[in-house]
Amino acid sequence: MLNKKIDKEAYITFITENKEMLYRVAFGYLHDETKSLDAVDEAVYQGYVHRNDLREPKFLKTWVTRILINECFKIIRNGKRELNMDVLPENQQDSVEDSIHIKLVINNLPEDLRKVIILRYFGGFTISETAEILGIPDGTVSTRSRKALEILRVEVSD
Amino acid sequence: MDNNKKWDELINESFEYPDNLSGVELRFNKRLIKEKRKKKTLMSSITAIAASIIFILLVNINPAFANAVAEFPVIGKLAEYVKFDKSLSMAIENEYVQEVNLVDWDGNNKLLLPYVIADEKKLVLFFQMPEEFEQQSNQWVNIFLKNMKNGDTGEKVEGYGYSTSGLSFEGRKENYGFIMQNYHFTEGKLPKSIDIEVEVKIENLLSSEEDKAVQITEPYDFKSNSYFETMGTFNFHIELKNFVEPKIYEINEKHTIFDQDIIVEDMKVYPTGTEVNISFPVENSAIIKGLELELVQDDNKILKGNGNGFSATYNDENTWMRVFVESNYFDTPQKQELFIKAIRLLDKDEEFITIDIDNKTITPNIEGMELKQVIKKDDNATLIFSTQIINDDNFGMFNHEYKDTEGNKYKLDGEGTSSYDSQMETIITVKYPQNGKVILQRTFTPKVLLEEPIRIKLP
Repeated sequence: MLNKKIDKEAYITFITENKEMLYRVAFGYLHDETKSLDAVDEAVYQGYVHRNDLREPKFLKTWVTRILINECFKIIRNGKRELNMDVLPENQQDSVEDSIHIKLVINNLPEDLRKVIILRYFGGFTISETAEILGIPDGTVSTRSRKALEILRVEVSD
Repeated sequence: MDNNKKWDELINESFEYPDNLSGVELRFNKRLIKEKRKKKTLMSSITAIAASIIFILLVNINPAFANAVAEFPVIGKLAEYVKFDKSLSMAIENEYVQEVNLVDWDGNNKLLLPYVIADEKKLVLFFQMPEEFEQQSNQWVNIFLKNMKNGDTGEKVEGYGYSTSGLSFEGRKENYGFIMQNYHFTEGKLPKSIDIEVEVKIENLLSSEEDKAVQITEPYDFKSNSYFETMGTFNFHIELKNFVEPKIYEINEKHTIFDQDIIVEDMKVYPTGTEVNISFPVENSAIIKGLELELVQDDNKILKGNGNGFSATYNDENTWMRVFVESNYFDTPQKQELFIKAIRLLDKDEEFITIDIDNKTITPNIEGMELKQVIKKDDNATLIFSTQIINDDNFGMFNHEYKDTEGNKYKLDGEGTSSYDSQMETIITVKYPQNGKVILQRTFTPKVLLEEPIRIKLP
C-alpha cells in the first residue's frame, strides 16, 4: 500500500488539534509551564522533520506523543544534573506519609508506571490508546495503572 | 490535604494552558524557515567548492592562460586566485591589472592592498592579510567599506554596490591571504583618484555545541551563530590608471512577453564585464520585476541565473534593467545569445493590496495567493500567506513599509518565507489596526516560465 505523505498543512492542523493534549502530557512529566512548552515545541518540530519515518499517517498522534515523552526525559535528565539530589525523597512510601508534594512522588515512580498514569490521566488516553502508544497489552496498562495509583495513594474511578 | 485532592489539583493545573501554547504553530514555522536557511548557506559553500574544482580544470586545459601565468611570477598568485572569474582572468592575462602595492599600519596591525583592476564600471580591490597574521580555525576575516571619497575633491563617491569575499582559516593558504572586493558602479562614476577607509572584522563562528546552547535559551529568535570583533581600520589612497574605452554596440530590439514590451537597447563591453541595457516602456500594464536569463556563447551554455559572474540591477521605478555578464573585451566570441526563460510580472493595478485581517480577504483578489492563517496576540497580528509558485522559487513579497487605511505608515519587522514544491509561505507581523485593515505594497511576484524562451542575438 502506498504511504500517504503528511504535508505541512495537514501537520499544522494536527498540531492545532492536539497541542493541548501534548501540553498536558508534558506537564504531567515536568510540572513546569516553560519546560512543558519547550518539550512540546521540540516534539512538534522533530515529529515533522522525521515524518517520513512514520509508516502509517494514522499513527501520527501515537508517534508524536512518543517523541514528546522522549523530549520530556531529555529535559528531566538535563535538569537533574542541576538539581540538588538531596531534595528528592529517598523512599517514595515515606514521602507520601511525610506528605511531601505529590509531584515528587510522581517523579519517583518507576518509569513503566509513570508513563501509564501520565498518558491515562494527563493525556486523557483510553486504556487501549495507552497500550498502543507504549506497545504493551491492554491488561498490562490496567495493572500498571492500578499499581501506580496505589503508590500515590490516590483513588481514581475509571 | 489528602493525596486525592493534590492529585486532582495537579491534573487541573495541567488544563491551565499558558498563553504561549497558542504560538506552537508559529514557532514551528519559524524554526523550519531558520533550518532551511542554514541548509541554504551550507549548499552555497558546497557550490563554491564545486565551482573552484571546475575552474582548476579549465586553467589546466587552457595553455594560453597557463603560459601567461608562468610569465608573471609576481602576479601568478593573483591569477591563481581569480581563476574562477573569466573576466578578471582575461584582464590579468592581458596585463590589465594595476600593481599598487599599498600597505597601511594602524599601530597594531597591517593590511596590504597589492593589486587593483578598474574600468568605468568596476573597481576590484585585492587586499591581502599579512603573513604574520594569526588566524584561528573558527575565524573568518571580513573587510567592510566605511568610506569612499574622491581623492581630488574629497567628495563622497556614490552610485555603486559592492560585494566582498571572506577569508577562512582553511582557505587562507589556497587564497594566498587575498580578500577581493568588487565595486560595481551601476549609476555613479568611478573617479580616477580615490581615498578609501575599510574596517577589518574577525568573525568568530560558534561551534555547533555553542550554537545549540544559544538556541535552547532563546529558541524562538533568529539568532546568529557567530560574533564579530574589529581588528582595525585602514586607509588607502589609490591613483588609478586611465580606463580603457568600452566597446559599445547599439541593438534597439523590441520583444513582447505576456503583452508587455521590453526593449534591448545596447551592449557595452568593458574589461571587467559586459553590460546589456534593457528598458521597459511606461505604457506597459505590468511592472517587470525580474527576468530569468541565460547566456549562450558559441553554443555553450555558460551562464545562467543570478549566480557567479551574472548580475542584474533594476532602477527603483523598474523602467530599466542592466545585466552584467562576463567580459568579452579580450576574447570576442563568434556567436552570443541571451535567452529570457522566465519573467516576474506585477500588474500595476495589483501593486497595493488591502488585507482584511478578520475576514481573511485580499482586495483586489490575487490569483494564486491567499491569507491562510491569522494569529492575533496582544496588539499584533501575524499573517501567514500562501502563494502558488513553481519549483522552489522563494522571494520577498512585500515592501517593508505598510499603511493603515488612514494613510499612517508603519514598518514590518521582517518577512519570513519558506517554500516547498509548489507552495510558498510568507509570514509577516503587523500592528493590529482599529478597523482590522492594512494596505501592503507588493514587491516580487512568482516566476512564470515562458513556453518558448525569447532569444536575443548579441553582437
